[in-house]
Amino acid sequence: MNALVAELHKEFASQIEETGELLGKPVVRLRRDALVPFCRAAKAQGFDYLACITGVDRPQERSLEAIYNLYSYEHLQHLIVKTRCPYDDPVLDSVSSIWKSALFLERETFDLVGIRFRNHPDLRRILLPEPWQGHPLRKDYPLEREQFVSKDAQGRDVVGFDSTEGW
Amino acid sequence: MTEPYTVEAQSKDLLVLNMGPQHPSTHGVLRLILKIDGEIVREVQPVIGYLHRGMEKLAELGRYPHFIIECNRADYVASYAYEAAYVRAVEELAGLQAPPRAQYIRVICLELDRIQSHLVWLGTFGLDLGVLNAFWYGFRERELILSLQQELTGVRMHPNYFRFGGVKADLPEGWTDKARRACDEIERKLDEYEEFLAQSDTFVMRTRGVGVLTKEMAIDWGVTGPNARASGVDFDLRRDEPYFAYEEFEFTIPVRTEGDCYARFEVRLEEMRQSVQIIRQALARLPHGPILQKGWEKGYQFLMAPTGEHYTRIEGPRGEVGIYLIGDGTTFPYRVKMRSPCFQNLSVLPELMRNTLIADLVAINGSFDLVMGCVDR
Amino acid sequence: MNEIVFSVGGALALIGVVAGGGGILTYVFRKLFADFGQRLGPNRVGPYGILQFVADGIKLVAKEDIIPARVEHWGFRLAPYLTFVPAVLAFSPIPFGDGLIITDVRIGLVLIFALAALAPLGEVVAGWASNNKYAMLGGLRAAAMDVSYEIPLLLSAIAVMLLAGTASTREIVERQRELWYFVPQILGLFVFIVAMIGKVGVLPFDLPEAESELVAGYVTEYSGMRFAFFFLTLFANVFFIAALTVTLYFGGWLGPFGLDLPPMLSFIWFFVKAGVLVFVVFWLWNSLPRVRIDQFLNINWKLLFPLSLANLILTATLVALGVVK
Repeated sequence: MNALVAELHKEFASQIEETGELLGKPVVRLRRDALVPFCRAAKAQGFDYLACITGVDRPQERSLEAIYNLYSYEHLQHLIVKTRCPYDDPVLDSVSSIWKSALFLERETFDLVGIRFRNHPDLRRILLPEPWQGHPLRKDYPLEREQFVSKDAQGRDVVGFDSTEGW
Repeated sequence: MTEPYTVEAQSKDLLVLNMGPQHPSTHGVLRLILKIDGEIVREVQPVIGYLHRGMEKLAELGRYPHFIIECNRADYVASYAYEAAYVRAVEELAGLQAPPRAQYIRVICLELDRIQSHLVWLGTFGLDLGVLNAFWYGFRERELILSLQQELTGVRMHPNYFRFGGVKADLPEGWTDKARRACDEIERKLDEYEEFLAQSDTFVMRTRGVGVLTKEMAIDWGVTGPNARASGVDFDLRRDEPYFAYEEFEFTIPVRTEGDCYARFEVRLEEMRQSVQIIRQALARLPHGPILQKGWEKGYQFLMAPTGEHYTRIEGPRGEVGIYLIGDGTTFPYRVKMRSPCFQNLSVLPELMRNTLIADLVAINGSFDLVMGCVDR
Repeated sequence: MNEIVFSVGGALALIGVVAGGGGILTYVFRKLFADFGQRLGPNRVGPYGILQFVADGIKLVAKEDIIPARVEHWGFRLAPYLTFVPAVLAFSPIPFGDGLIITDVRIGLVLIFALAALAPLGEVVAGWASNNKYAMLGGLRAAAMDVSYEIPLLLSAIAVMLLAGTASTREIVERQRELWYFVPQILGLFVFIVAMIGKVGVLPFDLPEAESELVAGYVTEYSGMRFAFFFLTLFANVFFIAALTVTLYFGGWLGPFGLDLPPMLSFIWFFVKAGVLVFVVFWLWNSLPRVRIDQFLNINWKLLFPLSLANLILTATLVALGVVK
């Protein structure tokens, strides 16, 4: 563990649930209310690049996990931040005010996994049409139910379970 | 749930123009909803997902090796990049190590692929600007590389060639000589392209100072690859986080600070030259030996990665190709997240396109080298 | 009676020449384009694919006539003819050879420019009537370009008129017997060619159509025979550039170094010179990127306009001082 991460550890000691390492990359598991303050401090420490947000469905724990891959171009240093939200309240705070790259990544995570990001300026589905049912990367997503995309007369997307629906 | 987006002008003075998904210069199925004031673009709203194939879900439904075939369909212009990233992620998670000869072959494949992908970009960028012939020239040289790849892997575009712990097949007889000749040919043609485009005043007029992406913006929006390097981000995973055998080669990373379309053109052109250098070195020093890790010649079908997770990234032709892989001790991956460079590069486009002319919008879009398969996955 | 026969015959000949010539030019263009791009080009229909343009013509005529539902019907139907008819008529005062001229009037050059100035009208009408945003942008671009290239174009043509002392195209050619006008008018020639390419709208100035930006500009909604009219007009106009430039600057049907052919064969020189110029236009078309609309307007207003004005004043001074006749 290097000095950068150690400092963050000290500052957020009470908010960190778990620390570890993934093949040489330091990992921090946070309580979910600490996400934005921690990320802001991390950005101030030099983690200027948010590479990736991965949403994971964890049915055993009945929760959704979000994994943030941070990187510092200045110090050439990785940091992986993890946090969770329960099924019945799948809400996390948006980090799009800290890194602009989160704007699309959070929309994608919302679309496919179903985590809502509070304070995201434009949280809509991005890859799937707006009225799509369910979030495909959930483990309980029903794959055998086909959905058909069509348009209504106003040009809006329509999604139904019947291939003859729509305009 | 937020309100669905409807195509209605917010202001009476602006005209809403729907560009794509069927449009000659949106490179596939990108759809841009523009609000224009005469010729000036005031707002851009990208709509994507027309090519979404649910790859991350498909990955969870197949065994580990099945996804090699699928993931190279993601970026269909540079198929090797995703394949390499995925194979590397699984190898590192499962603790496999490919023998040196396989590593070298992988480097050769990846660099050939980079040149090939940049040539496609060069052609289509020329087409966007109206230089029709750049398209034919770019695709002519690409053909050299595709036939090399065909001889090596059996197919031209979706190779399915990398294996956990090595590669599928050894180089065919005489392949290295052909590759060397192709390298010479391409290097000669690259000078021609430079003469043809960079010395044309009209080309410079259309690209200089157009779509300037600053270094801060590039980092903030997660732009990577040649686009970021054209903005002064001096970072390349091949040099800064070497994988496979990249640490054994000598090459330079072209960096420009202007951040405009012309800088992106220069960076890509120079990158192709550097790739030729890498291929030459790799061909000259190609080690002998096995091409698959011992003991894995047959058994990789039921590879069982341990419980754990891992983020791997490699330098694709369009930027950082990342795989976040979570294994749960079975023969199926629990979750594969594909970090797409095009997806992130696309996110900054509305910022760059605001208050430009329609013609500039086309130039910016072309210079960013988006592949919609890579964006939508 | 004789006059009527002559007029009708002339008109038919004109249409035949323009349609046939335009068709052959499409074949030449495609072959040249293929050579520039190291491809083969048309090579299936007839020897060396030379009948390809006939096949294309038959295909276009046989195609279903599609008029989209919500277009402005009158404008949509009228626009192809609004562009095609002036483009054909503009050929009538051009002397193809010694005595080979259909409308020999004293104001031939004025007539040519009056007819040529009608062409953007059809483009604007097509753009508006198509009820398509891309088409409308294309039409607006055509209008914006029209006001900017016309002035340098006319100013450089006026310089030629001053030099020749006449507006009759036949006499302009006759006056070049001693010296082709491209020598004293080299500046004017440059302005004229650039503005003319802008007028016809081929690369690098094909902004009203700009396929990578506006899909196909004002012809987006057209198909079949109506599209063919626009297409034919484009190639007729490419030949028109060459024909007019040869007439004004390269001595029309006159041969170089006094090598004149007999009147009945003098058109050969005309077509040889025009062919070279057509090749130059195709060459530019195939190798230059498209300029932006603001850059085009800048070139016209800030470069070509002052240049042509300077050229005009210079020519006027020289003529007044009697340096050139």
